[in-house]
Amino acid sequence: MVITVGIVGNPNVGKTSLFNRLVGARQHVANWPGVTVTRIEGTTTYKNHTLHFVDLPGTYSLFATSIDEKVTRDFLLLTPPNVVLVIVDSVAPEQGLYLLLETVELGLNVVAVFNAIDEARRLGITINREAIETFLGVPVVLTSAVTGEGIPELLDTVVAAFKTAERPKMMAYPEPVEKAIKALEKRLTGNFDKRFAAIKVIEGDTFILQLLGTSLAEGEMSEFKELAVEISRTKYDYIMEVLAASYGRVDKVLTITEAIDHVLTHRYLGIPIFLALLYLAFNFTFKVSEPFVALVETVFTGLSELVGESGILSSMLSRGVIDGLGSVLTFVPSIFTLFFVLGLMEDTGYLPRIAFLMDKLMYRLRLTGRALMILLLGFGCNVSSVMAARALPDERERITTVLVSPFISCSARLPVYLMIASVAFPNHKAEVFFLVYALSVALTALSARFVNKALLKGESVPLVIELPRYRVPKFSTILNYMWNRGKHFLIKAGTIILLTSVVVWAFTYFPNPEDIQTSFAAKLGRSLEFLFKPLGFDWRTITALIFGGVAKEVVVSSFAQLYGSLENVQLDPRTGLTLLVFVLGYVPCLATLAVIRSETNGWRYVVFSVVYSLVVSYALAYVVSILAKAFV
Amino acid sequence: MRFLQVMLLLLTLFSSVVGLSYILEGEFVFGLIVLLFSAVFAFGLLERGGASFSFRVAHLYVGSILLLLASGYRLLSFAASLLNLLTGEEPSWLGLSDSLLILVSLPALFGFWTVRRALRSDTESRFVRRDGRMANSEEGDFPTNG
Repeated sequence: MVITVGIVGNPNVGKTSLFNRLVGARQHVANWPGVTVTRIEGTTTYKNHTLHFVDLPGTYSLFATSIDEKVTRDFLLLTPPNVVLVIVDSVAPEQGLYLLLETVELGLNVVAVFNAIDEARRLGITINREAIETFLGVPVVLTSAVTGEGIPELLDTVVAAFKTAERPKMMAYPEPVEKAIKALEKRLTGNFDKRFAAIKVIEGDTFILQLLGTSLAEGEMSEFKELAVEISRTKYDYIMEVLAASYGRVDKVLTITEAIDHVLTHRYLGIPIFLALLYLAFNFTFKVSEPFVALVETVFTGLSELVGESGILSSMLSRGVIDGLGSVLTFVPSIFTLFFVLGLMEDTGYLPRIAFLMDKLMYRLRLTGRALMILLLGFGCNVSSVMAARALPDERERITTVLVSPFISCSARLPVYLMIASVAFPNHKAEVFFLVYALSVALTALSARFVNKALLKGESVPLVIELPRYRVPKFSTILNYMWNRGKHFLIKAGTIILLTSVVVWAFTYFPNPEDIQTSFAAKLGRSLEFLFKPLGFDWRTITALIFGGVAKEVVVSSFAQLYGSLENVQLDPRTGLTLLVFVLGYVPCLATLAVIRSETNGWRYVVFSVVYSLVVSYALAYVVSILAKAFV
Repeated sequence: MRFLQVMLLLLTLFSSVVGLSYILEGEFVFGLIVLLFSAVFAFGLLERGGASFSFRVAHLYVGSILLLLASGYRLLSFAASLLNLLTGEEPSWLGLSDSLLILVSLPALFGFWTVRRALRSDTESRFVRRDGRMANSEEGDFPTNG
């Protein structure tokens, strides 16, 4: 027997952590809202039942506004699961209970899961589970996704809830609301719960109206507006009643989170501390990974020498595969270390504070701190941030975020920066990295302003964000984060980078293996030399940049092949700086372009993205080149 | 309260000296970062108003964490550089400023631990009231579990 179980809850209440516990998966989890933007499914077997869990994007209400919230609402409404787990944050349960009441109104088989019970206990909160069960009429399970507490009981409750035919009791609204609901119920047709549909119609949910093929008269709409307020008020009053009867708290004045926030979001200290921590993160990355980078380099050099270059096959293996791929894989220790550090910052709950700190500035650029948080995902991979933009309720802001995402320095560009910094600025690698990342954020923000002014006119919606609690980072979560982000790099290395490296080798090998100056690669680069002369790029750099359009890491493998090895690469500080700036923004990779196309339903924004990024990168690199000539 | 002020003052002074020492050694950026962390303690001393006690606790707590992070970063970087010996290169040895930073981290660790114990205690409300003052004494010593 297969039981479908939907997992819903507010953002950042630990749905995905719980999902991982229930099905033994290793989905990416983070200590900030909006990580899951699409549904994730997994199956486990328990007591002769197959439990099929569906982890849904976080939402505060079934009145969905953003694309990811719609995913949750549509799933519950159009393909109702056998059992719904509504995850409620034990420490701050109010919003979770609101969603729970809505899910109950949908007539579904609901189980209330009070998660983070360990944290609640630590804060001196006591929960009277029986009182909640009596009030809400649904089974309640207390869990901790971190410690695993309550998981076996939750599985038992899911099976028991599936077998029961009873549905939770509905809460009653004041007389005028009940009257309106009953009148609407008679008019509505459709397969789903009529009471739920009527309540949503009163609340002004246009989706439900469209689904029912019904429309409202002008007078009805204004009448319903007042009733909608009454519905929300009744729900919150009811929630306060439930909590008064079931929750006991020690009245803490200054919690750890409040203490930390007072300083980390301080109006004068907040941003300097953020910049300092970012600098330390980069410096730590280089210092810790340096010896490992040297070790990997030694291994690949040895392998290349072992294979030799006599004959076409040996040459392809030695130069195309080992030198080309090896030059990229050399930076794996640095990339994994950086992800470890970023994972640490994320798991502590610090990242959303950056969104809060930057919101004022972002608002001026017609974006919000919420968009910044999504853009921060792009430091891993631009594809993630383009897709995560679905969580933005404002369409204009979503498109802007999609279009400016490629300016965020993704991990694919890391090896290129590492290579350039090692060659052109061997003693100031962390400083160069810091500058590149700062420039990346500045370029993204300014582009957002430009896109809003030129393409998508409109105002931003103010940021309302629930800051998660700080917590001691969990080593396994950080390792999971590091692996989830880093594995994409390894997969790319084994597929697209390997393939492109062999193509680059063919371009350097033919028609004359003895002389690279007459190779197809040289001809390709020289044919465009006139365009890049003002930037000071030679044909090797141009060829590497062309192949780097497929995936940015290929720039490194191309350099390794065009120069014989990375050790032979020569870049003076001026060209190094210019190249860094150019690589920062020039054309999004093929995968990102494909996602931009699917997320914007057309080629218009794809073309804009390519042309805009090329023009901006070229112009900026040119300015840097002139300034560097004057000062360096 | 006196304990808190003394701790904030001492840590401001000590960490400023460490920051300046790094700058004199030529590590300009890291020196500035340590000076910024010392400013976290200094801003705590400047807190005024009803909730100043709570906010000073916050500054001591976060400043101590940041200072511990800085010294942890130096120690870990040094530990990782020992691997350089495998490739025949010199590790980056700890300097005088590093030793000073580690020394200053000891009172920071003490400050962090004291605040953490007080904040995490179930009986916290007995110590810190909503107005930010201690509840069981009139602006006396810093609260502890004992």
